[in-house]
Amino acid sequence: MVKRVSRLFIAILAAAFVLPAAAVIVASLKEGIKPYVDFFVWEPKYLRALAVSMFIAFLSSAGSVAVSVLAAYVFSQIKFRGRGFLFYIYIIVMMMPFQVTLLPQYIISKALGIYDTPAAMIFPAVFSPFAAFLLTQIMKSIPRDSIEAARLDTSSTLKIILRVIVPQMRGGVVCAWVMMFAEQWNMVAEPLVLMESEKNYPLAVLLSKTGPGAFSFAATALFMLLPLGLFLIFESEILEGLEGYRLK
Amino acid sequence: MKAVKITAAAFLATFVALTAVCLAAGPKIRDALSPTADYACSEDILLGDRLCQSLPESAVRHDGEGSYVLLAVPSEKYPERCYEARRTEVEVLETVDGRAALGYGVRPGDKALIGEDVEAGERVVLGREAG
Repeated sequence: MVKRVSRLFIAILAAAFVLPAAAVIVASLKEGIKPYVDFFVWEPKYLRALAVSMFIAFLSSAGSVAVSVLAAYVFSQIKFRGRGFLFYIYIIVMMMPFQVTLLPQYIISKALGIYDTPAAMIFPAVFSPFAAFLLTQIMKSIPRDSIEAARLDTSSTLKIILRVIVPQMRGGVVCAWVMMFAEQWNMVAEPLVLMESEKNYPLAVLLSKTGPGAFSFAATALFMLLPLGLFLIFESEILEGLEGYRLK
Repeated sequence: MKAVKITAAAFLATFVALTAVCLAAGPKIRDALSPTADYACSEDILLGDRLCQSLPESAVRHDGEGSYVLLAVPSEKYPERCYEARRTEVEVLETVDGRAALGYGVRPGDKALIGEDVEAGERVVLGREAG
């Protein structure tokens, strides 16, 4: 009985999450495929914004994972004075609401001359503490023996990271990449602060400015597609990564 | 599960490819899908002692709200150089030798679209200039 009730509860909960997405797709098809044709052909502003979203999300998530793997190696494998304190600061920065760091990001992007370019979004994301934190937790579970054994073959730390450590935590790396991708994909406030030209805005920003109508729903449906597809493709890796993180 | 992954990967690859193709070939696709309309340039005409603009009669359209022309104006909506049809109300003062003398609405050199298959707000490809 309890099992049945809990299943029913989970089904209702799942429906509550799925229904808005399904409603968007149904509403977007009210005028047939015309809104989708409009998106790809007659509304170049939105298509460009989609490409900008892809560009920013892909580069920032890939860059973030590359930097975070190295940071995670330092935090998990190298013992040095102040390591715990430094990692503690990482966690504090991660816990801060993004609005706190937005103004410094604005000032730094102006100083670097990257304000109003996609680079203003990409650079801060590359050094995001979340992926480093996640990968550190996962990397701590890798047996030291395998790393020590690899040291007998090569003295290059980079080679050890790429050939020994990363293959052992593939799920974690993919998980961090997809989560960073989704985070960057959904950003609205940051582009509004770090960019002023509409041509540089990602799709998330333009969507917040469209009115109701089949076109808005079609654009929203297309906006959901990429993160959803990535989740379907990498579902097992994401779960494996989160599982590895949970075990720490 | 593997089938779902392969389908999702194929779908995403198609989606990304479609985005890239539509971005790169967007102007050509829009040209191919836009109606082509001939046009006529506005010319001076002397009506008594008044200098007016004139267009071929076929460029002047009429509906319940009055007379209007569809002017080909550079579009700001698209990144490429192109035109869109903009409805402009006009006053027809007189018709002389197949040309309508207009009281207001058109400036010298304005391009007015000729033909029925164009609607206001539509992107158009300019065809031949009417004589």
